[in-house]
Amino acid sequence: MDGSSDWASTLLVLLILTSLFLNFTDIPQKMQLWRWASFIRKRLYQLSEIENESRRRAIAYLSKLGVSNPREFMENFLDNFFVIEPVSKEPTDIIRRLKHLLRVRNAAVKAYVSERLGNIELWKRNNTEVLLEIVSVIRLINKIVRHYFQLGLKYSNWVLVMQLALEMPQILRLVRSYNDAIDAFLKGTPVGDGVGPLVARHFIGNAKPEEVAEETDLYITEFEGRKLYVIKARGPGATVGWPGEAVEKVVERLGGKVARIITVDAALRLESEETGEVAYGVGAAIGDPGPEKIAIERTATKYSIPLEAVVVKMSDAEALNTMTKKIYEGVQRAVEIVKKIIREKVREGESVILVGIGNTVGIL
Amino acid sequence: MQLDPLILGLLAVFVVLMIYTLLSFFTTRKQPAIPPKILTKIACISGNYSEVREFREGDYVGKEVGKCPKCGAPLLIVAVYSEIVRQGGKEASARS
Ligand SMILES: [Zn+2]
Repeated sequence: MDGSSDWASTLLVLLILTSLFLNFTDIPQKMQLWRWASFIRKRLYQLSEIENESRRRAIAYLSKLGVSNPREFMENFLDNFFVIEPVSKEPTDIIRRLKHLLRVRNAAVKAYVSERLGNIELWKRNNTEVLLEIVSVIRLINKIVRHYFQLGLKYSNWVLVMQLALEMPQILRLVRSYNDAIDAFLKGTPVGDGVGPLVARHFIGNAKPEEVAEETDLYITEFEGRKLYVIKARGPGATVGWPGEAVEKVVERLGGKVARIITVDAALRLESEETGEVAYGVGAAIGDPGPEKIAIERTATKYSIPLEAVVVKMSDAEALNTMTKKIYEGVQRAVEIVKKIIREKVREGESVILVGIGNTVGIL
Repeated sequence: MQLDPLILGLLAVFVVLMIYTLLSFFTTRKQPAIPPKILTKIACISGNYSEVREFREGDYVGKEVGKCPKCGAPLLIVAVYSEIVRQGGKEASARS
């Protein structure tokens, strides 16, 4: 028998078998599923490690504050305190209902923390709240990822498993940045999201605070002949305050005689944008679930006050972690832009409201 | 004895796949990141003096930390930020 025709026919048979195997069986998908699953399992393990570490750190901090049985205190927080979104089919007063729910939830969290911590400084209580929130977010993400993974395996839904595997690096990065954020809040350093309060702090000078809404202060000062009303959350604890409510009250108190409302906030940057880039535009720069933003918009519309927005760009991870030098340089540029807006668009003797939106941890 | 070309071909494919797998295994190991340094910037309220030092527990923006060595006005913390300082580079703490 001829040797060359022998291996050629073997190759032909092999090709036919392979094409049958690839096109008419589920085996390749099963193998892929198995590969993606082991990829996810490795990362799920890392995710659990991060969750455990964040719990350990939270417990260590709580016992340092003198909480008895910190584990039980934390575990009890993690799965509770959810908010059920109000009905949106009936849009009348939806914002009022949402505002009510958010305040009730906020009060419940405060009561829960205060009850166990006793009478400690406000900033310590605020930082404890944020710490518990971070741990519960990490836990929630971990639970959701596990949910989709187990669902995918249960029904051999390889599309679901593959999609999850492709998302895993991004999810891990987010969870890591949450875990790193714990450090920033425990140390009490300003975070990237603190750009608004930091810009506001720049204009305050030695004006005295006056509480206009819960944990939200108003400072009355002057800038080159203009009357400046600065609103920011009360620092140096970790809180965002209620800036919308504060703006509403201040504008009402002034009878609507306000030349401009300027909001400063952190904004999510696109991948192609640089951290610390500053941009300005029109509108209320605030990323709350709705009630605070709408309060600013409604008040401005009621008295036809122009709304100016100044944002400093950063990634979601940078917003949660200790402010980087690049972001701080952005803050300095944002301060100059705010000054320019006031000089050009507010006449001397007129009033202007400057609102520093964001978490004021580490910023008085 | 002469080797069958089919066997040779399969062997070649096997070797290439092995190298590919091993390469991807070794290249995924990253070097540890340099932990950033947290710095505190202090300035005199009259604006004629500022310094940057390492962050200390309890520092926050707006905190008064003594008197200005030049004019005696209060010194305030104006910023706290993190910076990645490469080893062998310039010293992070600088006076101006
Ligand atoms: Zn001085």
